[in-house]
Order: sequence, then C-alpha cells, then structure tokens
Amino acid sequence: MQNLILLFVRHGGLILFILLESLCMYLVVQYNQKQNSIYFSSTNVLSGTLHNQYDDFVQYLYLANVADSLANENAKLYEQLDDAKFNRSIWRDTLRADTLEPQYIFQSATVINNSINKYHNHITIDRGKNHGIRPSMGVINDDGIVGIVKSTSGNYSLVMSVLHNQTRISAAIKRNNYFGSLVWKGSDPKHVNLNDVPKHADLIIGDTIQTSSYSAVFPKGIMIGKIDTFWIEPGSNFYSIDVKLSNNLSNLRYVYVVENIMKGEQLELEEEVQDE
Amino acid sequence: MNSTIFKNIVRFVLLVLVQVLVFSRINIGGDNFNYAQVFIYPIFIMLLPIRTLHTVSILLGFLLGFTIDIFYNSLGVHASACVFMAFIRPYVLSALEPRGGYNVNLSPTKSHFGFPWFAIYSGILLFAHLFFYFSVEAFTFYYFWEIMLRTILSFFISAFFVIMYQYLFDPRE
Repeated sequence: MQNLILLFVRHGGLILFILLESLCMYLVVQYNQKQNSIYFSSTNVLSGTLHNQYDDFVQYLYLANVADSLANENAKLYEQLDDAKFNRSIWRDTLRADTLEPQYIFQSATVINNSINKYHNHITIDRGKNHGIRPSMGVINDDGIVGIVKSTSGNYSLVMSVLHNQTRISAAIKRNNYFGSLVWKGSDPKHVNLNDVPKHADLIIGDTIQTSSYSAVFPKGIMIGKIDTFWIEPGSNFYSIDVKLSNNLSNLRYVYVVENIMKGEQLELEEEVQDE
Repeated sequence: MNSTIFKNIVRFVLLVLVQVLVFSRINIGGDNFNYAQVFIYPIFIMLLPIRTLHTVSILLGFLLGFTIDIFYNSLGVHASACVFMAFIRPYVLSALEPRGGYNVNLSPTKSHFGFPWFAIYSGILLFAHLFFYFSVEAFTFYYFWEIMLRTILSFFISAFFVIMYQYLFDPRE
C-alpha cells in the first residue's frame, strides 16, 4: 500500500494523465458520431484481421487431420474407378445392370521412412498386418506407382520401391497397349527401364507408360511415366526404353496400398498351367 | 495566495466565455476553407503558477477542456488536448529553465520572463495542444497532412491572440 502511494506521489502526473486521457477517449468515442464510427470501423478491421490470423493458425494445426481424411476419401474414390473393378458383364444377355463389382481395394498410408540412393531401395509405411496389408500388394500415390509390399509387421510394412533392382512391374504403353516389364538399373532415381517391348511396336518419345491389365498387383491404367528415349540393342528383338517416372519418389508422404481381392483366384489358375 | 486562486478562477470563466461566445462563432475562410480556428482558452493552463502541482494542473486542464467541450458539443476532444498540454507543461518549463532557476511563486508570463521566452513557451504548448486536438478530432492519421495544415494555420492565428492577451492585460499572476 505504501509503495502504491509512493508510486502515485512520484508519478502522479503520468498516472493521472493516462487515466484522464482514457476517460477523454471514452467520451470522444461515446458521444461523437464521427469518431465513434471511425473507432468501430477500425476495431472491426483489427479484430477481423486477428480472427483471420487465428483461424489460419488453427487450420494449420488441423492440417494433419484434414490430410488424413482427404487421403481416405481418395482411397474410396480410387475404388470407384472402372479399372479398379471386375467386369462381370455377360454378353449373351442384353441386360447389363450393375455388372461392375469391386476388385481393387485402396487404403491410405503415410510414408515414415524412405530411401532412393541405394541399389535396393525400401519404403516403410505405417500400415501393417493389423490393417490387412499383406506382401505383394501394390503401393501407389497420386502421381503414379510407388512399389510393392515386401513384408509386413503388426503396424508397419516394408515396401520394395520401384527403385529396387528386383522389382518387376508389368507396364504397357497407353496408346497401343504393347507391354513389357519395368526394371530399375540402379542409377538414376528419376528414370526406369522398360524391357521386352517387341521391335515392331510403334513408339514415340513422350508416350505415356501405365500399368498393364496383366498385372495382378495394380489395376490397369495407373500412371508410371513417359518415354524419354528408346533404342534397340544390336541383335535384339526388343526395344530398350528409358522411362521418366511421373512421380517424385524422394518426397513421398501419402500413398495408397492397393489390394486385389481376386488375385488369389487368378494366381491359383495360372499356377495350374505352370505345373504342367 | 487567495488572490492568485481568485484571479485564476476569473480568468477561467472569462476565457471560456470569450472562447465560446466570440471565437467559436468566428469562421475564418468561410464554409469551404474550414482550416483555421482560434483557440484562446489554453492561456489558462499556460499561466498557472509554476508551483502548481502536476496533478492539479492536469485536473484543471481536464476541467477546462470539458467545459469547452460542453459548449462545442464535442465531449472529450478539447478535454484530451488540454490534459495533454497540462501534462507536458512541466517538461517544457524545465527545458526552458533560465540559468538562475525559477521563482516558483511566479506565473510564466511575458512581464516576468520577457517576450522571446514567453513566445517560445506559449508556442510549444499551443502547437502541442492544437496538434493533439486536431488529431483527436480527425481520430485517424490517415489525413495526417490535413491535420498538419489545420494545426499550422490555427497555430499562427491563435498565437497572435495569445500574445495579444499578454499585451492587453499584462498579467503578473
């Protein structure tokens, strides 16, 4: 209390000045039409700006949730694609009601570890056995293919990246459906090679390469990349094609795991042939 | 002592009356050029005795401005300017302190300290008062140069009357 009195004795003028100026400003705003409207429009601008900034900040905090829900929604949308469905239409019947049924199921996942600079590049994702992930499922993202699941644990899966020199993916040229198999030579993380395309195929630089319909792993029509250069080795009957990947594997974040629920049936049938 | 208080009360009443009845009706430049106004009532704060307590002069400034505001129908605008002026008065006085110091019983008038000293003293206070007044009146610095123009034009014409007051009445307290 004594200190308070001392403070007032020493700085009484300043304190009184601030008090009376506050009172004056209150009177000015309260009883003068012009100053009142200026005051309220200015404070509106100020509070509006503040609220905007606050909203932006809060939205930033929720960004992770938003991204997750968007990724799940994308997975559902992928399932709606015709290429992700099995066509049950039977041509002897002219009725073709609801003959597409789900063949590929998509599940979103987040990349938690990734490498691109080795011979055997792997990606770790945060979905595993508990989420229904099993080896040899495909992994894609919005820009193209990413790899194939190699092994799983309870909550994580190890994905063999496209940039793994044992990965083989069946790929086709979109324009004319000639197909080959995609391999990586282990040097440039931006380029892969497409082999086994027959010499008589007609190629143009810039042709789109996508997954073929023969793969049991990926649905048809997932983007892989574009033809950069192509040549024929002397004495070979097949093209060597250099494909520039459409997605950037060095900054993966959200991916989708693709499950072909009819794969078992297809492989079983194909194994019968191999056994012969 | 008592005569000082009495004289200040009379000065207060007279300055308010002159300001409200005469100068508030003078509209220099007509309706389209409303830039120069005459403010004579700040003389009251300028001429308070030097020994007046800081808090007391601020309170008197508020009272004066509030009274003027009632007649100008602009509650708070003159009062804030007067409070500001009363607040800075001791700092201006100490900045202009003569070599021998002040005789604190005196009022800062022309007859005690001479014309040049009084001109500087009243000029600083008047300019501060007017600038504060026009800023609060506009209530935004968006029209800064307009505020400046009003302040300068009003300053010259008001300063003329403030000095005239000294010559006409030659106040000593």
